[in-house]
Amino acid sequence: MANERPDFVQALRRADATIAALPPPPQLAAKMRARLAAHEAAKPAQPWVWPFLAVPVAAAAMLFVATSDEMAKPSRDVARFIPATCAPPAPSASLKLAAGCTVRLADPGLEILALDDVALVRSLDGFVVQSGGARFDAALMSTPLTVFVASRRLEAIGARFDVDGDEVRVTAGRVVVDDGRGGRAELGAGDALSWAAPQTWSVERIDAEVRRATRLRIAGEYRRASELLEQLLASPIGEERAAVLSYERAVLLETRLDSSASACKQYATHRARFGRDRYAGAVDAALQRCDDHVEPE
Amino acid sequence: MPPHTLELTGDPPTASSAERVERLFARHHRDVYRWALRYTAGDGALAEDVVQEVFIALLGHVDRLADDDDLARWLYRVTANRCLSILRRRQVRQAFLRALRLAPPPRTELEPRLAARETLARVFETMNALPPTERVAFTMLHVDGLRQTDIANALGFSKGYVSKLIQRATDRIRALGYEVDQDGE
Repeated sequence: MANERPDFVQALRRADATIAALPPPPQLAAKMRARLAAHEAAKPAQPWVWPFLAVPVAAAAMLFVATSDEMAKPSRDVARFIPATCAPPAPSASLKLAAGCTVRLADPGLEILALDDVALVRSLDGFVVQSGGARFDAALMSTPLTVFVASRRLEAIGARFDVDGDEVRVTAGRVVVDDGRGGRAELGAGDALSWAAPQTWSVERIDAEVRRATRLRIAGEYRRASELLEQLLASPIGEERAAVLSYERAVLLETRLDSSASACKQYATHRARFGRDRYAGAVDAALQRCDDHVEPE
Repeated sequence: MPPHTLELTGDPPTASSAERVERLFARHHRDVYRWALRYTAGDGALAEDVVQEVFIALLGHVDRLADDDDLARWLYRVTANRCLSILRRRQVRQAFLRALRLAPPPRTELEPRLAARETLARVFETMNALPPTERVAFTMLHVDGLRQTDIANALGFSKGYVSKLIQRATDRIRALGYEVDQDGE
């Protein structure tokens, strides 16, 4: 019976022969190239080296771009990516790039390198970095480049810069960062600007807290439900969910706790924080009720 | 020693470490990828990570390697050790997830071109059932054809410990219904 047992070593060697026939994935070379380039860039150089270094690095970059562009040129009527390495099958207005991959754009002179797995969308105004980090090399672009990331607008002129969810780092040219709330910073080569990435609770934690508030409400413990909602509104739960809970609390205060003053305060806070959101009509009506029903001093 | 001959020569004397490593990567990453795939039992994603780690590590050593044999030995030894280290990390993570009573992630992401073949998948599944040190030592003995002394040198273990690892791996594989030819020992 023992002879019927398969010989594992033979099976393993056959499996290994199959492995030997597998070429490494094509994107591996691009990833490695990006990591080596990042390693070189991070290495401090003596000041006198820079002018000499700039020429071979630029030449290598141009050679890399020239040799990697084997795709047909797409039409310019739609804004699209031209994959240069790690090519997905078809051009599109949105793209997920694996770390180390590059794309070149139909517009001349723009190249994007994925510093890690990155999701990009081409909008009418420019590019949106949805997740991950990328290097935009627009040094040869004739027009300004606009990039949106983490609610910020970056306007780049002849620039090369790295950007991710919480930082932009400029290596060449000039980038103007507008935070959308009146804050504006102009960055030159060598400058970096960081902003705190929004620290949001996990979805599981938020769901658990919201379920707790719902249970309290079903149990008729409106005061405790309101207090819990107030705590949640001060916590990092994300603005979209906060808007829902804010309106819920206002309704709870008005209809279950008969606390007009607190309800009006919550409606006013809601309007100030979320503006004219999906509850705008109901909040308008509530604020009108508040105006009509001024409590005595 | 390592089953392949590599080439270190051919770089101009002015080339930087990164340029040299990029050239060496172009020449040798297939070998390193194959070794990594071998020790990770066909896990393509892990093998890719290992290849990158090995060549990044080479940046700090390329100037100190004397010749092709030196490079070959270095690449082989570092690939085996990186695989061992990455497999151990994964084992610790899985144990942690089990302790938290969370479902552990799949043990391996078998390279899709391998997963399609049932017999191969069974072989790699068996290898995945072995602890990392046993798996790597067993593979070095039976696939790479190294002597136990060479395995001990490459992994930094004593010869006695390597012998124990191989015996344990052999026992486990036999318990899973296979015969193990002892000619490599």
